[in-house]
Amino acid sequence: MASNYKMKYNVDIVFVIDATGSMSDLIDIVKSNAINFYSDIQSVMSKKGKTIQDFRIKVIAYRDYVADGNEAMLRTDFFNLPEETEAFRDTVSSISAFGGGDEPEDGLEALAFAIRSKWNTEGLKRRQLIVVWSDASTHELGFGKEMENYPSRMAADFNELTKWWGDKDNNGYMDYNSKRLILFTPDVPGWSDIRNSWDNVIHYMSEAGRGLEEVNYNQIIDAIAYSI
Amino acid sequence: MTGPSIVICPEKEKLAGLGEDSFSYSFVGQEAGYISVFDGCGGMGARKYPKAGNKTGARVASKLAAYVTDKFCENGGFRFDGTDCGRLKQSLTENFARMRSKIETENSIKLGGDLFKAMPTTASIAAIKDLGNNKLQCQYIWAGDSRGYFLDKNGLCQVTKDDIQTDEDAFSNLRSDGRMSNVIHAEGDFRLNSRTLEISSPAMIITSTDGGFGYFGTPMDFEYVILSSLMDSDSDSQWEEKLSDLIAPATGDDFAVGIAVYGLGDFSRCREYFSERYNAVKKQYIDIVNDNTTEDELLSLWQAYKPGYYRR
Repeated sequence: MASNYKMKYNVDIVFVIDATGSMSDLIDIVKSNAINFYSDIQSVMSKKGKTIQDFRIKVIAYRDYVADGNEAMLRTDFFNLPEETEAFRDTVSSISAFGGGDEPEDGLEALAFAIRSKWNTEGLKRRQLIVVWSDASTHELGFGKEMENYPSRMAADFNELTKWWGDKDNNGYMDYNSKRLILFTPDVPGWSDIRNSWDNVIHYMSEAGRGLEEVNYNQIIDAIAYSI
Repeated sequence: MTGPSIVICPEKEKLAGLGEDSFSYSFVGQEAGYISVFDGCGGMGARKYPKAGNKTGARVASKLAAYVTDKFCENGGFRFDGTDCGRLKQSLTENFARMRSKIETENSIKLGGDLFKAMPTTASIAAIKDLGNNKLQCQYIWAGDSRGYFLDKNGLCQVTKDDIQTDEDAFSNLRSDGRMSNVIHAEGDFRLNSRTLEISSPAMIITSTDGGFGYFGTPMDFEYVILSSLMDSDSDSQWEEKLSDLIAPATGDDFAVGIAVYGLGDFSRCREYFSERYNAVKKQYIDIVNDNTTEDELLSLWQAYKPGYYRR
């Protein structure tokens, strides 16, 4: 046998979910599968011969600071799975689809929060995944900054958010080799800008305004497993 | 002039029927030939194509690249005149575009971003010409993170340079898993790299996908499993099987490895020739590693091994 040495493999995932009215179908998919999410990912991974040692997941549900006030942004801490599966399920179950106001939503603010998550820096092999679901375009950053509950330490504009994401010369807030951004969104302003200018992005381009009805659970699991 | 005395291609799919690695080789005529491996990129090429039996783009790509390379060789493509790489790229580009137009459908969800490519695969090809007088002309052609090596009495030497975004050596890349910056794919804007070396035989010429070398703790382990499986075998086929058996439990991926041995008449001579190197690698780099070995100690072992590993 080769030298007796095993590498650790740690995975952090942040779900960024557009929780406005038209997204109820997708949110129901996430809710109904939350309890099995860890084992489903592990099952696909083990078929690929990979075992995850530490697996954490957090959720950011977003709407619109102008239209939805204190309901504009829900953020959790990371849940350690499978140990905290119940808490993860309860949190996801508490999300319901409503509000949103105009068509663009505050997806870039939600993405900014995701990028600045407290990522696991332990272990030799890591994956830091952000998975975004939306059927709408995004406001420009700062659209709702006049609102009382708008976050104070937010990226000022798209250029600053791009720096937070980083590139191969500047890590930003995430590790360049570990990070992946998976977009299940339409090909509309905000998301298309990211696809065209950021590294480490895969964009599943759904039809705008249709609540991601063409995306199914198996596709989501495959997309995540193949990104690890 | 003679061809290789031994050719083995250990390979294994993690999931039967869904593997994304391929290989091809040919030594017809014995004076010149090639070994090659291809690793369809599962992440970038995860899209499934109903018109291709619902196979992923990654699987289609590696099989197609192996087929195109074999046809290229069959048609006298490896001429060692400085044009091989360009002509092979042209053939791959044309065949990939043709296949894509056959299997892509309009109604599937659109994919984009730099992590998506239509039918992506790595490649590591070694075309070998026996010049006589114990000299081999070896032309290594590659894209992505599949690698080409040679292994002689002085140890394993990596000839290819991984196409990855960050500047990592073979040890650090085992940890950081650097993102690839270039692979063969159906949109055409890829690069084939090439290096030609004259190598003295006896030597093994080796190609491998990252499933072969990329899941051990150190680069030294890859040399060790090649040599220890050789020492533990009595025939070519047994060596192929035992090497596969050593890689399979360690790897988290499909793998394909190609090895052509030159300058050693038969199997027992090959085993005898490499026994001294096997004992040295085992003593210096393998036996002293255990569960308590720290990362710094491994790094120190790698620093001792590295000059030889990058000697050409």
